[in-house]
Amino acid sequence: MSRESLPVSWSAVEAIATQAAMPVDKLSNYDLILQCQTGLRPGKSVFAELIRRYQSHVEKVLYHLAPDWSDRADLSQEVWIRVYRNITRLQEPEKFRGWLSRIATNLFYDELRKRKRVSPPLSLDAPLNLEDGEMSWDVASDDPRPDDELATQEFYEKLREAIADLPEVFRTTIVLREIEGMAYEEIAELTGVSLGTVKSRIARARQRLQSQLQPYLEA
Amino acid sequence: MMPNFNEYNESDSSRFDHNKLDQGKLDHEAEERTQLTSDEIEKRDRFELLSAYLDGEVTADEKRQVEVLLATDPAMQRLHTRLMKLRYSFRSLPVPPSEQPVEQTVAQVFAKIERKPRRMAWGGGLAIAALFVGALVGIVPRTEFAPSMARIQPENAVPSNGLMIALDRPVIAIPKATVATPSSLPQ
Repeated sequence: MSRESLPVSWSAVEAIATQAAMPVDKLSNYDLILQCQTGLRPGKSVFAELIRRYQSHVEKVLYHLAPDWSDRADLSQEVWIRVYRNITRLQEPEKFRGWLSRIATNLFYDELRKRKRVSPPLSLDAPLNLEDGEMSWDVASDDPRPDDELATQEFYEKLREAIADLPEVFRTTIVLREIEGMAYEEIAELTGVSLGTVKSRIARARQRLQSQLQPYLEA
Repeated sequence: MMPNFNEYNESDSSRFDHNKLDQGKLDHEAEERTQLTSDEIEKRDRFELLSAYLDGEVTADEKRQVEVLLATDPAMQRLHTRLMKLRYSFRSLPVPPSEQPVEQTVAQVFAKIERKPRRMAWGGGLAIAALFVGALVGIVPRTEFAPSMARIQPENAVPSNGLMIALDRPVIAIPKATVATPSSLPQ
């Protein structure tokens, strides 16, 4: 038998064999996702490992989208249940992180709609000009310029407050851009507004943040 | 004249009443409040342009336009620096420590995943049982056989108690009181 005819198929077999034998915590992220996609539903050990690796990302996305919700832990569990049911449909495993963000964001919007039906202060369905009119281009900070030795911690605290203080549509739009790295088109599609509105909301959110935090940003 | 973004941010704050940023403003009020001068509109448009430039969401022409401004206008440069710092800080903003250990999340996720299909299976089983009982009732001829079973061993009927009620329900629902009303109407 010629040795030359073997290598291609043999290496493939070897790769699968090593993956299957390898402990889940030693698998690369990519291989882990592939393993989760084999079969009708992901295996328990590989899926648990996937949660361990990406839970902090889910928490980060949900934290920025819903900083004042107390049930984010429940939401993140729901995110993982959706991932469990749909991971075999993910076409490009290398884009898992973005896909996961998208699932978390969609879940956030589903929840938001439910909660707004209960208490309707700021509806996404309200006229855009009203909502967008709520933020002026001109919000200057009254805070005095901080001393040079002010800790980064304090700056982060101010930033956190300023983000939480943004009207909801502005906060979610800037979060989708800065934390989730979405393109304007994706944000427009997800939030159901025009590209121009996305562009304007992002600019307004930045304008307000940079204006409120100007002393820190220039320090 | 080149608009000065620092000036715009720092000195013009008296123009608007910031308390009016609260919710519930009428459209026309919002419009009135944002009656900007052409200079301010230009500043706003430039800010939007710079913001879109940071996101790589500009056309080739717009990109050149921003780059010329950045090369010639110190205020624009400072604004650019602030926005870059803002972006960096935003992205590196620490998220508060997790409310629960990840292993607890793993356990709860699997508990939910495993619970849901079981509930569905139970419901499915009940439906199949109902069908089976329904078929039996239909097939078995109405002789003394069926009632005698119920008379002799009433305790055997216990597991299908709920089903009996379910089967009874349509029988009750069919003769509605409203059907009788037309006859009582004046001719």
